[in-house]
Amino acid sequence: MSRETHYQALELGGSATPAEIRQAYERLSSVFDLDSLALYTLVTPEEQGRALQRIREAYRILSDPEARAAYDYSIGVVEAGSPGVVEDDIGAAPNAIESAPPAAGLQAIPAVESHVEHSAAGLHAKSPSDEVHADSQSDGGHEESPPAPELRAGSAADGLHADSSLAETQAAPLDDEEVMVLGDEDVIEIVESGGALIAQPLAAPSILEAIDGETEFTGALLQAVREARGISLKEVSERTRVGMNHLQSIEAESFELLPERVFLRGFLQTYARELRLDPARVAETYLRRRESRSIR
Amino acid sequence: MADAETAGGARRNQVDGRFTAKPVKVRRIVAVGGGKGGIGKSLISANLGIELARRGQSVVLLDLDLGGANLHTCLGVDHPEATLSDFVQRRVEGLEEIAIPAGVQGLRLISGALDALGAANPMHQQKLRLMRAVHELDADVAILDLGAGSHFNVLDFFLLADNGIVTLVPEPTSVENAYRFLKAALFRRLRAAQAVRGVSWGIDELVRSGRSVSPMQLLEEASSRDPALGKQLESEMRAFRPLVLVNAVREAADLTLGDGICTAWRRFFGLDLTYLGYLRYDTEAWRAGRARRPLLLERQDQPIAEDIADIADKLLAIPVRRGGPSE
Repeated sequence: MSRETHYQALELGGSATPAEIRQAYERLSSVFDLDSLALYTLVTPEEQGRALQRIREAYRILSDPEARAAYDYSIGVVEAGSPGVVEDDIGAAPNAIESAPPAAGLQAIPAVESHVEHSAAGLHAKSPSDEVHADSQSDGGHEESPPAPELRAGSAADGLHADSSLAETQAAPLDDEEVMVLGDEDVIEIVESGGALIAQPLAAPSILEAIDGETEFTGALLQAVREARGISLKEVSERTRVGMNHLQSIEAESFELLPERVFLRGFLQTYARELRLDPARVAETYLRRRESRSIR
Repeated sequence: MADAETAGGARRNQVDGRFTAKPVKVRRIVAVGGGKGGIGKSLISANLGIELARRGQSVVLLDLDLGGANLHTCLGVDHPEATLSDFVQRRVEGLEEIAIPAGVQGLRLISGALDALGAANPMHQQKLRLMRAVHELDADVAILDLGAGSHFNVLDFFLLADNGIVTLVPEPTSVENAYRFLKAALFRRLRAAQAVRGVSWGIDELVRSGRSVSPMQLLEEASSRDPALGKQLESEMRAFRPLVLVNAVREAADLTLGDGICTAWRRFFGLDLTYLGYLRYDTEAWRAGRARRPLLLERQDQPIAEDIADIADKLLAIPVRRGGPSE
């Protein structure tokens, strides 16, 4: 494939705002996700891993104002700013903004740089997905450093990003941290409980920190992670549409009650994503555990 | 084999599946295909036809599901006496003669052949004659309800259309079939274009080798052999612009599937797709089908009627481009 710019990789124009960059990243992450229906059976996991890797790389640069400025300079984006990938009149990506003069987009960046910089640093240091996902896959295609792509993160962000582009850029850093570190369900719980739960996500990382790319996931470990994050089974079931009985069986390792491998794999990945764990790793290790049991 | 590429006649005009030098009379040809059976192609064709007719367009629905014609059932019309087999067997001269009123002002139906054509595939000359006749239909829109599968007879009618709609439902097999269908259609179109231009992009070699190669890989291989040829192939590929329609959408995640497919297949396979829209799953839809009453007449206040309207809006906004083949 010919060398595309980071903007093209995210199907954006050179004047994309930080919020647009994140939305594009989240959208593409879910499209290229390993269990995305759009690509199911049509490409190999390796190919998908490479595509994910590519947009992560683009996001890593473009979400960091300093790196982005340097990158823009290196590709001379000041007057470019047109997405080469989307040249189409009808199928243009909704996020691509081509009408805004590129200069305005670039000028806006220094104004918010300090905020965004702060958030980017916070994001890399604190994001639980960093610790969980690092080196998780042997083929190297699946490690996740940027925030886990989730629809709900996007929708939570949408609420805050609403209209004003000024408010949007200022709200972004705060929003980033809440979404990435706590997750919106935590925020809701904190609000409901008058802040009593704040201690929990902060105290919990002990168990989260223990998880790395070598972790073998068991039902008990999944349960511990879920409890550490203060999420009820019912909540998981409602959000993921995986039945309570299946979730309970997964945690209790009632293997005989669980469905066939293909279905179970889907449940595990969905559940893992809900817990911000690496879906591939969770599914792989859990299924291996089940198989070793059934042989004995 | 009797194939589009080897046929005599107006070679210059074979690209785009058009086999006639005469100007096309019908203003817009829409084909509804999708590889897999039972994904609602007839239902969509019928209701899209009703919607467009209600907007004052003159619409002809053609049931080209030569194996299992059922469009008349979706419209609640008894199977008419005159069908496509009368046309194919030259008992009538033009399609207008077998187009019957379909219950809505402005909408006519040309019913599929339940016999003759069903058993055997139409002979090549018969197919060409049918294609020309579709062009000559006196209507604003002709909607071709295609059969299942990726047989070249199905593909040729898909390629004949100004707007080829590939239909799928949110299930892995359906998504996979839709991809295979589009790939087969594109490769068939490219082979025809190759013949017209008198060049080779390596498609025939590819088909013979039995390797499964995506359009993008084909382009990469052709470009690495000869960059100029690659450019030519790329522009031909870009001219193939199918539309994607997702039927039987049940949950929020399904709503993003169509968009995701357009993005992912462009990236991975080099297919230039446009997302046309979705139809929400509606148990009543199937019941209405059984009751032999068109859904859109029965249930005008339902979400699915809104979905059809959105799809019609989007479809009509797509300009019909019929410049002959590039010089």
